Amino acid sequence: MDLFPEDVETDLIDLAELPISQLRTCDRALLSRSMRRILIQVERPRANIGQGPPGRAD
Amino acid sequence: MEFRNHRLPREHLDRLADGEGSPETIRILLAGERSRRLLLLRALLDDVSRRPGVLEPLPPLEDAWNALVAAHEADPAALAEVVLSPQLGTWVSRMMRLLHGGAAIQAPPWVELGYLHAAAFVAAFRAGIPLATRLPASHGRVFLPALGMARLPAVPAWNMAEAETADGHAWLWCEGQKVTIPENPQADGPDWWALRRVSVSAGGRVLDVSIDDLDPYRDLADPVPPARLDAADWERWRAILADAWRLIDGVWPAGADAMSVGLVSIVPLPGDNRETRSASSGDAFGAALISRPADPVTLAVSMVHEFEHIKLGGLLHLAPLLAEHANSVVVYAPWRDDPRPLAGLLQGIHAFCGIAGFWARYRLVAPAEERAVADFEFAYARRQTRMGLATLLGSPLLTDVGRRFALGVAARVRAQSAQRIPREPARAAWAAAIDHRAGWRIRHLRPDPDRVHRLADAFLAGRPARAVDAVRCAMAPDTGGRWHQSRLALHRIRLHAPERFRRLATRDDPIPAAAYGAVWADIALVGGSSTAAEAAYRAMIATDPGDITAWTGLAVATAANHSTSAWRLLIRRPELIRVVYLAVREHRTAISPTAVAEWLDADSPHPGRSRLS
Repeated sequence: MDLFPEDVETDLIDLAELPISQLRTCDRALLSRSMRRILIQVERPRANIGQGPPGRAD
Repeated sequence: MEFRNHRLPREHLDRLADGEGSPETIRILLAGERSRRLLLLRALLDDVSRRPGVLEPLPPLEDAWNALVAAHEADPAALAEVVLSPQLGTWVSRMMRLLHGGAAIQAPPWVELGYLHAAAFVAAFRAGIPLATRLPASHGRVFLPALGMARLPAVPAWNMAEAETADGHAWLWCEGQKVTIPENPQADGPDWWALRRVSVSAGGRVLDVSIDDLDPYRDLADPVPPARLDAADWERWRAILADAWRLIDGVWPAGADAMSVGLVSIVPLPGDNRETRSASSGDAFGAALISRPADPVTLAVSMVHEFEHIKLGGLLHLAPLLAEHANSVVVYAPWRDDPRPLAGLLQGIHAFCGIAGFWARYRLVAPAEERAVADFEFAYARRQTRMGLATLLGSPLLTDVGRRFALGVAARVRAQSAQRIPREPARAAWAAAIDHRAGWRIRHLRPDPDRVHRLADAFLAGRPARAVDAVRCAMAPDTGGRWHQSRLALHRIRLHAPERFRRLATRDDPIPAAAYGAVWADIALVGGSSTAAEAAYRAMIATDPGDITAWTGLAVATAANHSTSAWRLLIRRPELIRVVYLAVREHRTAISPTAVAEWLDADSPHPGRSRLS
């Protein structure tokens, strides 16, 4: 039996239901947790650089 | 309004681990990218609104956002096209770093921040709603995201252009020059370079990508000038992409299904086609940077490689697979010459598992003359992945999601392992893998010098070795000098062009550039004459006791011919044997490297079966 959850609850807020016109006025506190995580990711950009013939890099 | 977080069904996590993903899996990742992009835009707009005047002489950034919203209301696809483009992802991430001191800038900030005005202008143009605005012009060029580039040659370095769109028409003008966007903006016009797209079809699957040689944010982070492909180069790209897509579709239809949804932009990198380079970044979901490939197979491998990174990048935006401090841990990655953080190892494992998967399928349909190389590439990538996984799965820094993902990749590797590889390519892959690992250990690991000297003293005094397994190594990355992969290149030459290799072995041909630095012993080793190679490497060590190429060659040669019972220790702890030998050589010159290896190996609990430290 697989004990791993059927769905992984992610760290990213889902804005699919947010009308685009309300993005600027939406309460920032609701967004802040996800935003903080994203800004940390952005501070440490990750690039993958490959080189061939087939690969010597990540 | 209440929000919930994105959810990732276990089934799709597993599909990402198995290297394929489905169109539905990619759409789940794209939904996450949309939320992420909107959050970044909100953060940027909030930030810029606290910096009055930063956009002058352009209109406030808020105006651009309002235009995007108006375009969205007229045609949601118009906003999605620009906001979800990979290049806007690179731009918005760079802007956040720029505003917080994490990036350097050459232009005035409004020139870069004004990219959003250009995106809004394109969205309005696409949606057919009127808009008059001002856009940044850089070195006589105004780039319109996902559309093309207007050229205003007489305009100095940083300037602004007036721009207007109405009824599906658009114009820009600056300093007396005017550019009209062509009726069909996908075609070049006077002073207009279109952002060209290629749509290729195979097996009912369509890959539709931009070939981006224009967008200033098409590179990994910093803005770059356009590098317009000439007509001949463009045609080559178009043709080779069509062939590569046929190949991917033919050998890996499930992967092609996912790629047709998730790969939207290919950025040609400069360079000749002797060595293919490729890249991607987490900021730019959907884009792969690739230099002009030599052939469709090479392009297909690069596309598969980068698409694996793209998918994993999207997954990492949803859920961390490693603990926060994993980047401070560096380890051996079998495809890299330098020590890599665990996060890099994870990326590489996923990418190389995908590469192995491609070769596993391609080798079954490859033309006869390519089969041995395809077998080798499969066996080599599979072995590299397996070695990397052993490290990753041993790490306590995997999160629960990360461990499930890594175990999923491991299951895929096990399935690949069921494929039997002919002896010659399999042995070449084995030799290349242990060769690289031995070279990495010698270059980057420093055994405890006190223990090394105690061992050397014991050897010179004729006492047995003690506590060899307890000698710890410190990571001391060697940043000097390029590490030439000469023997790896020789393996490929031998498998791909046996006659050419024979001419190297008979010294009728000079060493080719690809195998720069190769010596006769390397040719003997790769050619299967391990005894002759071993003798040559011993002679090289006698002359130059620290010669890394000779030590790694000796390790591989003895592992091939089992001429010493210490061959396992030679491939597993070459860094220790070498430094003990060097310490001994300070006092005694006539000493065999394998004598030191055998003496150290005798201390092993199971001599001849040394453990990996």
